[in-house]
Amino acid sequence: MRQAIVDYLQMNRVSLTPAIIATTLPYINDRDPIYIKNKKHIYVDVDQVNQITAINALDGSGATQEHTNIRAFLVTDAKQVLPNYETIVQTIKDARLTPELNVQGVTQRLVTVQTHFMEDALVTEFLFHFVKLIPQ
Amino acid sequence: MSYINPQPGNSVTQIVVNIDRADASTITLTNGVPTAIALGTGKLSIPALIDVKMKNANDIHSWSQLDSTAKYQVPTTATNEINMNLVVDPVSFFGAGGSTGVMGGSGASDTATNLGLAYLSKYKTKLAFEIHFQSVASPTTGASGDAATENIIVRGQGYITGLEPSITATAPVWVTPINIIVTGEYIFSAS
Repeated sequence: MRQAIVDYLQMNRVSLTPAIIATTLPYINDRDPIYIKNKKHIYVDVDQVNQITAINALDGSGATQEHTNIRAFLVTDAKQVLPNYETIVQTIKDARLTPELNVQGVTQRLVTVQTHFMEDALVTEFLFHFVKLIPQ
Repeated sequence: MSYINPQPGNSVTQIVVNIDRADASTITLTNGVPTAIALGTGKLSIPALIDVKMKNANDIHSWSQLDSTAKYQVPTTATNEINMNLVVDPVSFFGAGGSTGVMGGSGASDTATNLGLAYLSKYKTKLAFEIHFQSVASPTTGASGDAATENIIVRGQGYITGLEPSITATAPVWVTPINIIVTGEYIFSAS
C-alpha cells in the first residue's frame, strides 16, 4: 500500500510544490530521522500490518480484517510556514482516496495528521489507516 | 469426564451439517416412525458455519392440586429446531446449477447441492439433515466403545426457514441466520 500512496503523491506533485517526494524510507541518519535533515521532503514509511479475526467459522473458513498503518513525514521551517502548507497537507491526506487501493480491496481508509516541533522545525506526521477483508 | 471439542479447520473433527432433499434420502420407518436416515449423493454440506444451536424444547402440561403448594408438571411434545449462522457462500447459497436454481445449469438435476439453501427455502423443500455432533479420528465402536469414543450424529427431517442475509459497511461480508424447523423426532446415532 505504500507504493499506492507514493504513486498518488507523484501524480499530484504539482500541488505539493515546493515539497518533493523522497524515494528513500525515513531512516535514522546520525541519530536523527532523515526527514529532520531534509526539510520539505515527504517521506513515506513501509506498511505496518495487523490482522484480527472478523468472522470465525466452524470449518476454519471465515474472514479476517487486515489493518495496515503507514506513516508519512513532512518537515518544514517552523519560523516561516509555507504559504501553501494547508494545500500540501490536504493533498497528502487525499492520498487515502487513491483508486489504486480499490483494486486492493480496501474497505476503510482513514488518516490522522499530527504536528510537533523539533527545535526550529515543524514536523507534520501523517498516519494512514487502511482496513480490508481477506479470507481467513 | 470428557467433553466434545470440535477443531475448526480439522476436516475430521470439525462440525459438519449436511442436508439433502428428503425424497432423495433413504428413510427407514419402523411402525411408521423414521428410525434411520441416510442422505443421498446430492447432499449439501453447509460451509462456513459460525455457530450451531440444536433446540429440543418440550412443551409442559402443568396442573395444581389442593394437597400441594407446588405445581405438578409433565413434559408433552417437543418443538425441535436447528439454529445456525453462516457466511454466505455463493455456490452453496444460490446453488451449483440446478435446472430451476439461479445458477441455471440446464439439464442438471435438482439436487440439494444444485439448488442451494436459498432455493430449498423458497420452494419449502422437505429436507433430511445430519449434524456431526462429534467426530473422532479412530472411533471405537461395539462392546468396547462408548459415546466418548464414537462418532455421534444427530439426524432428522425439516424445512429451512429464517434466512436473513445481512451486510454492513464495516463488515462487508454477507452473513445470514438459517433455521431448520424439525418435523418429527431427532434420531441420535453413534458409530
